[in-house]
Amino acid sequence: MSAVLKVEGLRMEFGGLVAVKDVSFDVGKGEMVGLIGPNGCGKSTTFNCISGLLEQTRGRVEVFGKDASRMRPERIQRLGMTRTFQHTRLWREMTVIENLLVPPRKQFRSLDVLWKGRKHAAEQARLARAFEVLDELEVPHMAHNLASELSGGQSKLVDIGRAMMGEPGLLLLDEPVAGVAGPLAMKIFSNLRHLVDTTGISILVIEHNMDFILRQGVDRIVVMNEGEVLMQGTPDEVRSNRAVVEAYLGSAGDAGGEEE
Amino acid sequence: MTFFALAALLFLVILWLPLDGRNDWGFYKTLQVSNVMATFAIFLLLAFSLNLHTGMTGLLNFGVIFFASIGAILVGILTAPQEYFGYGWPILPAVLAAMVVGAVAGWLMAGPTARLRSDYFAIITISMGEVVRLLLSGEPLLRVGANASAIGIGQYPKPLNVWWFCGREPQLTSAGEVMSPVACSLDPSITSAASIVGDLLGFTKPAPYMLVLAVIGFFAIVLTWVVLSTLYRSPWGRVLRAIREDEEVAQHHGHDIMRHKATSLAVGGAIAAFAGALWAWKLGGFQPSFMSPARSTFLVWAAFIIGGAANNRGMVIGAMIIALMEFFFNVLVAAQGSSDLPLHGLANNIDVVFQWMVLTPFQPALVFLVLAGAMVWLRRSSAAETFGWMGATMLVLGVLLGGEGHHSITEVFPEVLGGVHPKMGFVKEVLVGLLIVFSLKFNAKGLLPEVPFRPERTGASPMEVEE
Repeated sequence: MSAVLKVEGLRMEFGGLVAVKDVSFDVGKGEMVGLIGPNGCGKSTTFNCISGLLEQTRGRVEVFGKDASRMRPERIQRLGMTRTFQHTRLWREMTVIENLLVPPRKQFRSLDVLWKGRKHAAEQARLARAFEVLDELEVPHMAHNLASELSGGQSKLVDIGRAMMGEPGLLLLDEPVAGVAGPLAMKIFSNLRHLVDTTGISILVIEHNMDFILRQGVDRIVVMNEGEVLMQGTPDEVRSNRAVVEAYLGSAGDAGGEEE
Repeated sequence: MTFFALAALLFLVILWLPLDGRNDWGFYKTLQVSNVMATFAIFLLLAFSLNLHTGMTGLLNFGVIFFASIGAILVGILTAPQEYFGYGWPILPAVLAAMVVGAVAGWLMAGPTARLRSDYFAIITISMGEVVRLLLSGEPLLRVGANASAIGIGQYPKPLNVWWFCGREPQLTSAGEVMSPVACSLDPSITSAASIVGDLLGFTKPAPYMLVLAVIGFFAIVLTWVVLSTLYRSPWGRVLRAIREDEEVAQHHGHDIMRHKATSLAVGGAIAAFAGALWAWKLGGFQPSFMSPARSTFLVWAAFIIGGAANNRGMVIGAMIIALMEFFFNVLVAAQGSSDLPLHGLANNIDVVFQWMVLTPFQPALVFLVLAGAMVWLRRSSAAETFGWMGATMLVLGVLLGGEGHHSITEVFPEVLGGVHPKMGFVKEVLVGLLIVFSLKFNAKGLLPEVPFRPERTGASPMEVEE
């Protein structure tokens, strides 16, 4: 299994505060990896360094075999990696369908899209694909609503759909189901799992929903604590690790253990 | 639908604009209407440019006049004849050069400002405009005209001016000198486009040159409209709006926001530079004062806010209102002095209201407070608040002015200058300010708000694709 994302010795300091001390892990092709850890342990900062939003103090990030350590976000995205943000950030005064039409690549390649407008074949294909994605997410009826009119859960769905429109090979999801009701959250996860299994996409996901992380979805888990990787391993290994249980899982880990 | 109704209504108002009864009514009416239309074209082009920068891309541009002045100054300097310290270029290359420089200025501006927050960007743009204004009043290289030491730019030729009055071939005087357009227009023996149009419309003299400017402005508007609406509908317009909504996210979805912002600034800059050139031609010669923000940038912003951000139709309505107001107050300024001019009655009424507010400020304060009370009773809290503030303002003003005969009044309005009279220029600014405030308070999205893009699903019916 070749690594699509490689993080080596990542360190991020904000002035005197060391948010991420030393983080190394990688994500293989077609793999779904969970990134967990207590609040403030540096998960989102790690994400921001990988995606190019922040420039790390030290360390190396490799995306699809290319050194992305000092790249700007749009360059990294074009390598095939798309991320979402913890607080859903849709383009609020644009319609849902428009939100989905922004990310696709090579929109400016041909000038004739200018005068053919919506009748241009590539534009038609993008539009058709966007409606397909909305169908998959089961929110086609919201296509013409402004993004600001969506509920929290619907926003999360559209956010994932928008990320998919960029046809990424690697998806970084920052708490994709925070604030989404139980059944829908489970459905989102099973869809993600399905996506990984069928299309060979890789996913790195930050999540506090232990039900999903420990039992149903991910292939591997990276546990962070205080800016460092505490351990990496399969869900079973993580659940039975005493240090992880003490630092983060608490009763969730124990309960899981007892069930088995 | 609203757009066409509003546009037709405003156009009727332009046609209705009062004119004093001179004998050559048709000529002056044509002059008046084309004057308003030329002003309208200038403000509309500037509003288009602002709409691209601020409405679509979200770059808070308070330097509309910066780009416009690049166009006005460059066209003036480049085309003025060499004996007036210009460069003697033909007009077309000069206009193209001005637009290119405007575009380059916009492009270069994006570099250092791209990472700034929008409010800092606004400060940069407003200071760029001021820098050019100060340069224009101080820099000797930017002085062009009959007298080398005079500040400002003048004596530059206007497009088609010679052709309009003198015809295709240059007209010579009996002494063998080339006649100026003014001389041609006074010579009834010369047949030219102006005299032909003048005859057709039944004037006793050649048609005014302002008509040519209005027509040039009209074509510029149509062309800009087509270009901009094509861009807005394209994927590029979509990306611009995504940058406006959240540029960081746009960047994380693979768009080079720096390049898109620079392109947006460049396209808008070129449009504004052309508007500046048009402005220069309309003025015939200008001083640095034409660049003062209250007379340029803020009027364009008023058009932008009243009309409706991110909607070019809104820009049309906004620019029409502003152009009308400009003209209306120019007439009022004249009417204030002489009783035989149109709108003298209205000017008088404004005088009376102003005197009432200055000399007995507690009366209007009372009126406003009573109105506020009425609004409370009608449960219109927003209106009540507004009237309340107006009443409070008048109360404070009343205390400060201290009633009739107070020295703060007699010194500002000495009896030798006719006592208490408002300056119409300031009345206009008050009115523009009130329009902006009320527009933001009661109709924040403007008369014609942005229309989001709502494409239908086309996969099911391939017939539609072929259309």
